[in-house]
Amino acid sequence: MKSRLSALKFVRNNKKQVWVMIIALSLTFMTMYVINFLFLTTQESFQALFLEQPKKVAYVELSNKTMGVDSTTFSSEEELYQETDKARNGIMEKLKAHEGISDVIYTQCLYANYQGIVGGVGYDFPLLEENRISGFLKHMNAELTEGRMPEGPGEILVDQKVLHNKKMEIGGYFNESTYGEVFQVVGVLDSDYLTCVGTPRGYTNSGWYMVILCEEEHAEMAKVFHDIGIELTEYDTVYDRADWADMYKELVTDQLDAALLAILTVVIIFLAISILVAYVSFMRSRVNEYCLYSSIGFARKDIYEMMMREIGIIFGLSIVIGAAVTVVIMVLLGHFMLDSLGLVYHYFYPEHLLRILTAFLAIVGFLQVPVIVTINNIKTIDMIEE
Amino acid sequence: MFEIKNVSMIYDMNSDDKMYALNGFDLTLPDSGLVGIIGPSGSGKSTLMYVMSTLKTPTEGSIVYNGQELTELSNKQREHVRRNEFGFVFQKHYLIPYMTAVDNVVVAATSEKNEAETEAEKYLKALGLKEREFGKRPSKLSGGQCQRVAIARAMINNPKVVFADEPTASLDHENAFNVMKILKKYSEKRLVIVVTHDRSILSDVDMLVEMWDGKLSSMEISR
Repeated sequence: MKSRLSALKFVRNNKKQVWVMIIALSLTFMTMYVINFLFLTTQESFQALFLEQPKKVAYVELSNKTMGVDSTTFSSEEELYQETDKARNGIMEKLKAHEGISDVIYTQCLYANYQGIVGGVGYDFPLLEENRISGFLKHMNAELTEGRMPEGPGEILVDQKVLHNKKMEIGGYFNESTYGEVFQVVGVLDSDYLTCVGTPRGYTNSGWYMVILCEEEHAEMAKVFHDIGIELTEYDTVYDRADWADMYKELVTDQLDAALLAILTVVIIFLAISILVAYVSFMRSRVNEYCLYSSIGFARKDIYEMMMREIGIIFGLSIVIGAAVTVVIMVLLGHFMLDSLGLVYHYFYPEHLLRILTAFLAIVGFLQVPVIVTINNIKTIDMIEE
Repeated sequence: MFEIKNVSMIYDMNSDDKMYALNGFDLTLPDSGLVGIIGPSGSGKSTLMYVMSTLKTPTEGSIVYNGQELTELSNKQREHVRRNEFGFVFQKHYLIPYMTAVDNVVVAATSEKNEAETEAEKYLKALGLKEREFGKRPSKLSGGQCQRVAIARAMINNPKVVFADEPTASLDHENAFNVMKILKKYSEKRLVIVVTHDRSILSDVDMLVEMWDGKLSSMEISR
């Protein structure tokens, strides 16, 4: 005997009710995925800075103590500077001789800011003499794609993503709000590490660092310095692979994940309550229908299966339509917003798609409660008529 | 077909003031024919129909249908009997508001979809609905048309017994007469049990069972 309790009849003949649910669910799908997308775009964009760039370059400023210079033994500052320079140069020579370190330059640095959709991050880049810039670019696998190389003081090459992010063009002044018309952008770079470099002009407050050009296997400075007989301490300023990785976890991954989880939890709770209210009202309007089925011999299981098939169709259509709308929205966001901000992104995040599908499945599970309550309360028509 | 022996149905079993809807009721019904069950409100006629059709289980007594003791069936077996052997016409038509007339008939069918649709259209046509009305929803049909759809739904599986509870209650005289004519025709080969308090529609019955206070008060056999 074939059950005639078709779920499609309700779906086909109650378009208004069904479409209200489908649209609500589709928009929720889209909202959840797009929020994920924007958060992950930020995470992914920051990866180049936090995780990739430190594989190629580290910034270290050693304390006098670490360099073995006792500042109390010198009668003048000049004498102290000479001694620290000497100590630093010695250390730099040892570093240059270390495996996986291609160059070490002690230089002034400039500060760049890279803004994500959620939050931003600042990082230093070196100001070098003109003749050292080519070597730096080669090491960073960066290529000049537009403009020219720096030829005089205060000229900057900027990665194209950073340039877009800062909404700048060649000829514009870098960090103008801080330094005024001092550092002018003269060229655009294509690089994997958001590379910027320039020539110094006067004093900047970003500080002076040993800029250590390294290979990935030798990018953890504590180990490199240990190899040359120096133990780094808390008094030393070190921006290396390990340090950036810690910051990435603390500032980017953990915080964004927590914020994302909080937002998605609120969305899911709101959705679950809305869907529950809507669905319960649909079921109430169909009580007589369920009673009829039961009276003419359909088992409660048949009625339950029909209801679940209806929910399945509604959720299935919602996911398909939600996915289609999401693709359109993301392409538009990518084209009109993220590209112009110079952010790194891609469209498909399977882990988060799975998270949304799990949330939808959980809501279907949540709907079991009113469905089962309704099924257990189905009466036969004799009970209604009495 | 039905052998009802000493059937009682007591409501408020736990209260001191027990209410007998049926009180030691006995009745035997044939395999076919139109049986009218008549009585005033509260006489137990609807309760009798519900216990015979397995919608209710009597408090005591025996109801044997085709050699099967209905009071001892499991829920699943009762559903099976209702689905395959019985047809129901209720006081209100209980048509599903979002389905067409044809779909409202097909919903009860046990056969394959295409076959059921053909059968449903055949029944609706025989019951006097025009083809253009087959695709209409109940809200677009008159009370008489809705009741005919409900009758077609009751007959779609060619059940051995059709239970009709006040099938003409919401109909005018002409429609009521037509509905009874349809049921009479169906009763030539099957058993049709009509419960009503309106004696005028029972002029054509083969057997008239009169009830009073949960008991059989009189019985007339016409054929």
